[in-house]
Amino acid sequence: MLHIAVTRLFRDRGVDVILPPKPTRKTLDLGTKYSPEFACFPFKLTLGNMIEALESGADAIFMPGGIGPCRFGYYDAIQNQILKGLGYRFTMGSAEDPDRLSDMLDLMKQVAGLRTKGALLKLFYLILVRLSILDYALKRYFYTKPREAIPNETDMVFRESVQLIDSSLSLPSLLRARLKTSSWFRKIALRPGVTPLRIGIIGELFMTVEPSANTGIDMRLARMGIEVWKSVWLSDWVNDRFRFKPFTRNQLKLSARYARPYLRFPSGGESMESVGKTVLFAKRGVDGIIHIFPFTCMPELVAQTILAKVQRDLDIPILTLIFDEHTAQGGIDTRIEAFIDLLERRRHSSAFASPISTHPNRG
Amino acid sequence: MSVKVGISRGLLYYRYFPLWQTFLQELGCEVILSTPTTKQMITQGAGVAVSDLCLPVKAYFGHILSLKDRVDLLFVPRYISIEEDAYMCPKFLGLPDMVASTIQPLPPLIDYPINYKGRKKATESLFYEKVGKLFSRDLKKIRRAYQVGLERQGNFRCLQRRGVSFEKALDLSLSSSDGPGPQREVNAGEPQIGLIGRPYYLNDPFLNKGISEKVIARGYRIMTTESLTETEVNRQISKLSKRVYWSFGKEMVGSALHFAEDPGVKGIINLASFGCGQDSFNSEIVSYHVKRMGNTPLLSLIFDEHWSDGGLVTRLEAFLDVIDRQGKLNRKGKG
Repeated sequence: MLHIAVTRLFRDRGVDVILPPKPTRKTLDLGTKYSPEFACFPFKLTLGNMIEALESGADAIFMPGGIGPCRFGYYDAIQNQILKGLGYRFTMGSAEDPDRLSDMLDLMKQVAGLRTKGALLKLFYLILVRLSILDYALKRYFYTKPREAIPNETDMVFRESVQLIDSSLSLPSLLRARLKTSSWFRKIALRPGVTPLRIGIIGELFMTVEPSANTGIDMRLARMGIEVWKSVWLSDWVNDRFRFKPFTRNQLKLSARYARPYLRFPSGGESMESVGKTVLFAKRGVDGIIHIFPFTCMPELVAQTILAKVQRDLDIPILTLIFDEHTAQGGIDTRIEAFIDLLERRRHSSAFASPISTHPNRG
Repeated sequence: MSVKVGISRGLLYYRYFPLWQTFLQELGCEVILSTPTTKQMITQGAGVAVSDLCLPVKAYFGHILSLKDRVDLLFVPRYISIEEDAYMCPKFLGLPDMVASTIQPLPPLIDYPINYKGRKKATESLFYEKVGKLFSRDLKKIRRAYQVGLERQGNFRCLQRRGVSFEKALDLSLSSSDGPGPQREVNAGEPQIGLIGRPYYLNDPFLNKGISEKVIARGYRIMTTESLTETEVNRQISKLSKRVYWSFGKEMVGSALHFAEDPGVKGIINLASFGCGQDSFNSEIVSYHVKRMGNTPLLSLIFDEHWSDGGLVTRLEAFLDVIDRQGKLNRKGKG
């Protein structure tokens, strides 16, 4: 999603953006080959991606750095070291602290070559708005897909709206695109009286957002007729830091409130969101939770330890999926299917206990 | 009757115990320490923990399990960051929460934070004041206890820097309050081996399978990460393109580079956990720079709860053989 939000805007400003080919098995193998053994999955995938981009002629790479308990902040230094060791010649741009606006603007300055602060701010704001509208379309997709009456209609509408958003480069046209997206989705015919199973996807940001990392698990769940709720959205993540959507709640603070009985200090990464949103989702009536994170991810391991108690206290099934370079789609599918069977059975048995089940409608 | 406060012999015990114990004892608490790590503790700890957690955390759970029924309070402080430019491991940030959600029932935890980062700072002195208020209303007494604790802690670290082993330094610093005793045993002729890693690996002979004794038995002297001063570490760290922002990672990388520079150190052994996120990167930095700074041999040992002594001994012997042979060749070359 991020690349859709960014690419056209930079091309429009005369920067030749090379999109590395979509990550494949080969990307991952490349990344794994040159990574430290216990580096986390996102590190390996992005490293492979960088190698592919350099092979196709890129001469600058941008990777936000940072400082925190999580490893992400050190990615840029280690990847720089590994790539230089392999003999590639390029410049590595990184932000000192991605949570600070001035550093992000500085990073963009290096990329886009814009000089005035106003132009930089405008570009940054446009990226964020595009991001949030793309997320909006995806949210509507997750709501509509399991309820659609005509198969594949939602997918078509979703593809069209992504194209529309991609081609809108100014603020007014983006706002129009959002209205259009909204009306397109509203026109989709829904099956009456359907209450799909609801699954919350929680976990590490990259793994939950990037389809090539998580084998597109969210879309596949939607196609299986399941309503997907996600704990982290890229636009919310950015919004928590830069507050570009003044009327949207700070999701980190919201999660912290719900996580309070279990986790009282964020231990890096998305641990707070994972715990807090699980509690929140459980209270809002989700049927089950899928927890996704890369192997050896430290913050999510803390979350996983704590979620064991949340699971007992709130009686909510949690399936933990840990991804690394050996993960195969078949294994994931089997486990998801078994999990869905379990959730369906739970719903049936609880329906026997209380025949009238009410579902608060969203959307 | 005095309050019994339980301290688990794991993780940060290996860095802060003199301060913790002195402070609590000065305030009239009885400190109950768990026994040294045993195989049973680790089995029990691993039984309740999530399988991907690292060995020291599993051992920590085992210690807590063995302690919890004997004490009134458990001392599980939340170490978030101990200096302004570095964090601790995420597992320390969430340690009290992990303990509370894994093991039940539990006595109440003392889990105030220590944090030098961000807007909500909680300095060390503030932390000890908060802890002290649980046991005494006399702020002066609390501050004095903290001062005495700091002195003992200072002696302890000072002894460690002089190359005194952990157990001995602990005994000396806790038994007498006057200045540290033994000097660094300077013996230039003896070849040295640098042990790098986190305090709880370097000093828990059960976790590291008594590696220091095995090395000493072969006629080498041990230098550890903890025998360096902060300035020595910082001098090395400032050479890196991006400084390491984890406290223990910084010490580990800094000491590795220091040992690589020191001609007296013949080899470096890196101790790490299976699945340790930070050390996966730190070890990468270490091996990259050590390779470029000369040819100090580097051995990486990774520990988990499924070990056998044999594998370790084989690798260690092969490593030391290499170093022995290098030493002989050098002597021949000179002669």
